[in-house]
Parts: sequence; structure tokens; C-alpha cells
Amino acid sequence: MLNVEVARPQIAAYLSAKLSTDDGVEVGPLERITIGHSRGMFRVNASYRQGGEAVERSFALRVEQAGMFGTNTLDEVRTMRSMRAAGFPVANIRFVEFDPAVIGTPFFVMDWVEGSSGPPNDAALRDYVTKLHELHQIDWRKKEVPFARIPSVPIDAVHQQVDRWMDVHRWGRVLPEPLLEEAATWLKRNAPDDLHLTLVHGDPGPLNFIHKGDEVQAFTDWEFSHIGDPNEDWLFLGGMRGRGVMEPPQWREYIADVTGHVITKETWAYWDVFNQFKGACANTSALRIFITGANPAPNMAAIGTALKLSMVQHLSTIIGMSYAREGE
Amino acid sequence: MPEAKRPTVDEVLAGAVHTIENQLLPNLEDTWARAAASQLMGTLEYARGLIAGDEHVDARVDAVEGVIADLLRDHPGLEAMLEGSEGETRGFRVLDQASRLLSHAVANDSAEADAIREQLRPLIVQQATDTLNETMPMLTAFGGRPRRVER
Repeated sequence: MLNVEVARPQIAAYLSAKLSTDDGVEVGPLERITIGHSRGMFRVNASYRQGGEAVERSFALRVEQAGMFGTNTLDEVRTMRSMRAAGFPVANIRFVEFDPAVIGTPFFVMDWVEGSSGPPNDAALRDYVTKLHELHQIDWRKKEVPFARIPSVPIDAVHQQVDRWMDVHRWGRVLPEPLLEEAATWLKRNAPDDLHLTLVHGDPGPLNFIHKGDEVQAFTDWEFSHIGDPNEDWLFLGGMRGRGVMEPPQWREYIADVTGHVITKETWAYWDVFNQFKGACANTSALRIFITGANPAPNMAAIGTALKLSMVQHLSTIIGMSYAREGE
Repeated sequence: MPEAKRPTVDEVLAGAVHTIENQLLPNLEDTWARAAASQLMGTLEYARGLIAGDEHVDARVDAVEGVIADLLRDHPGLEAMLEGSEGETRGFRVLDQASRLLSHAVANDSAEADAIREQLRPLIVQQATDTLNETMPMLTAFGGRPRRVER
């Protein structure tokens, strides 16, 4: 776990080595950005002289946390750079560091994007949903996508992602979780027929984009992205992350209104289970990180137990209802 | 009845929760630190619940093992589903077997699949609910909400 006071002079030394300055970089106290748990996020306020001119500049520091959610810096950086190259609003990554000698864990440094990740106004929310839809429309086969696994047919994407998240769960678990194992099989056997292959952000919604005024400035948190079905994103937004903005039925209507993308109730229910499964599996990693002491902060304990179990309960209820319908 | 050393673990934990809530939180400015303090209170409340009850999973494993034994007695064909099931602990092995049986039931429409759904699944769901309830103090504290202490 990053000790921000210890890391501060190390970050200053790192930026001094990376930036072309007259006499090194001074860094103010690191400001923890209070969103997200997958990475440590900090605002770094740097000051230095360049060609005799005083420069004040902010960067965003994104620090890996011991395998949280089964993701890593390299994949995220590759994805972000690929999306930026495709013209999508993504922060510019300045520096990437994998050497643990610097601050003890991989990290990368982005240009600071001015704006807010808090509740957006109506226009910014509409802009976000529109841009997410645009992400799904990108012809990814003509782009350089960095993903290690590319599904050949849509159902492959479902299987790949179910297996991916099950692997993360099994890495983090102490004991088997029968309801997640059941869900993995259920998801593979009950996938909808109308699947598509698009770019999927994987973690869309409030707090994971920066907006200013009426416009989105940047999509953030790309570590879950992959090729898959766009409804995974819509349900993550409307069924999970976006519930503080409006309830799922309203999201379903809103998405259709803004994008023309209509999601049936059956498809909605399926991807709801999928995302609860994904969330539960990802959250299990926090348990391992907590009990091994890699990050003994209390949010890790909560994510790895109660938060995970609330998702298990949600998905097992839906699966139980599907059994009841079959039995009628 | 054995006499406890004083202060007890619960008294220490209760004191820690009280101190965070009344002495630390009111003086914390940083949002992340305030959230962490609240989450810490949640983990301490969880610990209080744990030491007041049963910290072990053995009783739950016993119950699952009993239902699996009943299922195997009534449906010997299910033995094949459990071949190769193993684990470092009895709890791991039993829950791995439960996982295999629930997954088998998803993929099959038969009397034995019905039996798994009717006998094993409700127990597993109930145990997950019980564990969720035990860990609930951490969930309610997760958003960093101060309780009585408002800024």
C-alpha cells in the first residue's frame, strides 16, 4: 500500500528525471482522489523551472494495488493509448513505470484533466451516454486493439469473460463460492441469441468519467475493457454504477431515448446477472489483498466480503427466479 | 464459567469504535481519510460480532456435507460429478463439491438436478445470506457515512 508521505520525494525525483527542467521538480502534498478502489489515485502538483520560466503543473498518478480486481497497469495503459489514438476522449499518459524500486508498485502518470467526476448535469450525462454508444460503434477490427484475447464469435466473448472473472475469483477466494460457480455455468448456458462484438469499456458510469460544463472530457478506468457485447456496458451503467442517478427501468428508457439502443427485459436481466457476477468475482480479489496484508485498509475487507456477498445475493435471486419460471 | 481478562476484546473494540467516531472523525478534513475511518469502524463492528458468535465455518460445512451425503444416497449417479474434487481443507472440499453439484443442476433437467435445486441450493443461499448479514456492518460503513458525528 502506497505511503503517500514516503512516496512524495520519490515522485519528485521521478518527475525530475523524466521532465526536462532547469533544476528539478518540487511536488506538493499528494492529494488522494476519492474515487475508485482498483487503483490508488492521486493529484500531483508539480512546480519547476523550464528555460528560465516557472511552471506549475498537475498530473494524475495512478498506482497499482497488488492485483486488485485482477487487472494490471500494462493492459490498462495499452488500452488507454489505443483509445486515445482512436480519437476517444482519454487522458494523455505521460509516463509508465514498472520498476518497483521507484515507489514499490507499478504506476503511470497522466496529464491532469480539468473537470469533475462528480454528478454530471443533464447535458453532460446525455453526452456521456452518447459517447459510450459511439465507443460501441467503433469498427474495432480496423483499429489497433491491445487485448490479449479476441473472441472469434460473439458467444466466445461471453465464455472468455466468464472464465476471466472466475479466474479472478479463484485467485482471491479462501473457500469456493458455490453460487458463483453456479452462476458461471448459468451465464454460459443462458446467453442471449442477439450478441454482438464491440469495444466494451467494462466499468462505465458516474465517477468514471470527467466532465466540464455540458461535455465529457475523458473516460477513465479502462482496466476492465475488452471485446464483448455492448449490453454489458449498458447494464453496468444502468443496473449498477448509475443507480444513484436513476433506477434501472428509467435507465433502460433513457438509453433507448438517447441512443436508439433498445434492450429487452430478458436481455436486461441476463446482463444484470453477468455484471453482478463480474463484480462479485472482481471484489473477491480484495479479500486476498486484505488478508495477505498487501493492502490492509478496511475498504479491502468490506469489498472482499460484504460487497461481494451483496452481489452474490442479487444474482442468486435472479437465477433462482429463472428456476422457478422453468418449473412452472 | 471462566472469568474473562479485563478489558475484554469486545471492550477494546468498542472503545476503538467510540474513539474513532467521537475524537478522530470530527477532526478529519480529508474525504478519503474520513471514509477510511468510517470503514474502519465497520470492520471493528464486524470483529465485535465475530467474537460474540462463531468465528469458524465448521457448522456450515457440516450442514452442507450432510445435504450432499443425502443427495448421493438418493441419487448415486451424482458421485460422478464429484470425482477429482479435492481441497486443502475439509471446508474447501465440501464447498467445491457443492459448487460442482449446483453447476451440474444448471446444465441438466432431471430428478437429481431438481433435488440439488430443492435441497442443496436453499442451504447455500441461506448460508451466503447469513454471512452477508455478519459482514453487513462493513457494508453500511462503506460509503464513509459518519453516524452520529456530522460535520
